[in-house]
Amino acid sequence: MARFLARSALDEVLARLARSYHLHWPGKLRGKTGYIPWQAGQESMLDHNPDATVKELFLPRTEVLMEFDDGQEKTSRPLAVFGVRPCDARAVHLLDRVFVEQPPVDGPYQERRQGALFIGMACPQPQMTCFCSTVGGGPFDTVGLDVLLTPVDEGWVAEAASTAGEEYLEQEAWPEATKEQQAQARAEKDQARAVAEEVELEGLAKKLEASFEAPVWERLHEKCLGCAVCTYYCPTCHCFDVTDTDKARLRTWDSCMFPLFTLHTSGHNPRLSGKERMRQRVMHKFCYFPLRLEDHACVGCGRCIELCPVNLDIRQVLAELGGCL
Amino acid sequence: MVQEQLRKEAARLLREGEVDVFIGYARGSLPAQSTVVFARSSEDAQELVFDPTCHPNLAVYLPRFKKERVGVVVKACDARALVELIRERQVDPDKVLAIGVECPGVIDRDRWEEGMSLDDGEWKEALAVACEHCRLPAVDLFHCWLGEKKVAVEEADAQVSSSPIDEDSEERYRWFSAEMEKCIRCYACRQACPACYCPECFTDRSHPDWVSPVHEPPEAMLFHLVRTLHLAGRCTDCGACARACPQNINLLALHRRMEAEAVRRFGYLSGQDPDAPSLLGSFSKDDSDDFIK
Amino acid sequence: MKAPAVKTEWEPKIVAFLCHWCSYAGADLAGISRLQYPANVRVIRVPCTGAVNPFYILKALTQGADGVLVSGCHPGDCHYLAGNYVARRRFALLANLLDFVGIEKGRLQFSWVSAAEGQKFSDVMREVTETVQALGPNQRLVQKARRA
Repeated sequence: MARFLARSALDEVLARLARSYHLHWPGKLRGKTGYIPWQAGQESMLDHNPDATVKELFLPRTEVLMEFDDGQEKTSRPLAVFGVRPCDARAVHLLDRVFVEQPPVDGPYQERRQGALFIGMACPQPQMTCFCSTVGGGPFDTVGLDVLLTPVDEGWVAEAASTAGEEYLEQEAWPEATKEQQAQARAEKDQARAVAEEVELEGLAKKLEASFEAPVWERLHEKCLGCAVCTYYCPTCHCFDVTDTDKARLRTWDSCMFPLFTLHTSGHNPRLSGKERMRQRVMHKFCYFPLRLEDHACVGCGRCIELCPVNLDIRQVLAELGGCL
Repeated sequence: MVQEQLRKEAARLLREGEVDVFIGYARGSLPAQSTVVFARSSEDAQELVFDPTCHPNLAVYLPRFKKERVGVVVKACDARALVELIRERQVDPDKVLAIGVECPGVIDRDRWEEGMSLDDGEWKEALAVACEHCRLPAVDLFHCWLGEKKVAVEEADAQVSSSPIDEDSEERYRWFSAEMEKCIRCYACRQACPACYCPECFTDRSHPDWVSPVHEPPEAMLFHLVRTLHLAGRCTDCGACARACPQNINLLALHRRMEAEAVRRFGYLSGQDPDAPSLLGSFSKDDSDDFIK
Repeated sequence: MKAPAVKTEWEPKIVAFLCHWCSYAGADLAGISRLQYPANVRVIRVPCTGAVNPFYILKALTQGADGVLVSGCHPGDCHYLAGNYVARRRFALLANLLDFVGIEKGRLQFSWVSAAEGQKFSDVMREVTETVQALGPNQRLVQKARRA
């Protein structure tokens, strides 16, 4: 049953959520936007897909894995994210595959992920950089979501996308959405389906597997500057580094675009130049991941396209690879 | 028109074998965004464009080419960076053919708003901070120059309005902390910078790990302060770092502070003459001792 | 058994990079001459002020030093002829940059102390310690875990 969440009831709903969850939603973060802890009276930014991804909540930039003195036992509420876009939710679903759905299970990640509630915001107006439909998602995709909200006049039509979502809606008991509201939500959905599918990914993983030594990589990486904008802004990139300090063992984000990422103790570096590093990034997302876990490690959010200083557009890279391999 | 002349000359250079590769700008996949093209044939040269969306500094790619002869399109700021690369023996001037272009200034995509037109002056609302002043190198190192040989704005007033230069130290630290808080350590600034050509940056050292990968402002401060000092007297104020930064950190404030101090204290301006001594590789016995006990 | 009394009053930690040929010898002379100066200074001997990378200074501050002093030969007296001239340019810029980003002026100090200036060495140490003492614990630039 579709429910209706009135815009006027939003503040109350969020306050209730915040009582049982550590609630996050889109807001201003470090001079840009990201998912921030919800506080009463904050300005709503629900019509915006944040610059920083939801990944940060589950896989922080830096986290203490282990402290060398006795840590205090922590009890905390599970996380909830209100207004997460389908692309970001799908990304967390992909991270689950890596960190919890196959052994060894990643403890700190699992701890954050357990019982987390995702209330998603459908995306009726995809940006120029969006290509979620190409990689198997969509602006109304519910993978990884518990509830999907679709903006209509005066509020949102809410639909459960999981049992947890059903329970939540049950418990909230918002009024049933009217026929008109449901029709409006459906119309939004039908219209947004038209996100162009520019790139053909069918069979690309197999092709890529055979193309490790292909000369095309030489040309493709040429303009890449070798910074980590694409990886750090990617909702699915999850590589990390572990460092010991005198106080703790820390996990920090790492990027395959850095030479240090693969540097051996001996001084040998198997990925010596930008070519090998960029190839790794593309291969991981569109070859290794699909071959092992049957899904692309890309959700088409377009952040890497928007932010790349030299406009190295992953869609063009894929098109070129698909065309020439 | 500059763009037509550019395509023609680049095509000629490639056809006649004067260069092996020509580095220029091409139309990007987003509005107000160009991309980089490495043309290897006269047909590739037809992709070349030049307009205010051409903001990356192409000199950054030059040290990668050790054997090939390279043609490159340079704005005044890129030319200043080229001067520094020649001075520091990273680029062999005999192997680089620089085509200078008259540049009206470039767009900072963070200031850009959808629908701004490139044809009239509207885009100037989104003019990059670095373009607020500009200058040409003092020496002629161009293979040829397209358009009028002038720059958009000439006076070198090395100040950035948004940095709290007149505030007290506490306020200045607050400003600095807030800027550093934004840094995600993606190193886009370093990678986009022509002067940051070290094969191994101090941040990439793991033995000892000079800068920890921990996401904490002091680590970002350490990186940016050391980078600023490494660039003192070498930064040519092209602003490529600030435009590459996905977090809009006011990096130019730091670099311009160093530039201003170099001018004030040592009468030194970078990017002018490849034969001039470098700022920190030279000294005068009369340099001031005013900060030393 | 009673635990020894712990001194709780804050004392500044100061890192001093001293040139082997002049200021370090100046420190020696101060010691031999039995001149008194505060014991807050941790000396690191370097071959020349020209060998002091600004990074060392910044690293000391982020690791919790309350103040840093760099001291070397007077201009013209460098054992390596021009090391201190090169250092002077570099430190002028460093001092200016740190001032710009709001690091208190007294945190970073420079001096020329020759091997014959035992008295000046002890005076400089006292002056530096007093300035840093007045500024209080270093809170800026310092890693959170290391803040006083």
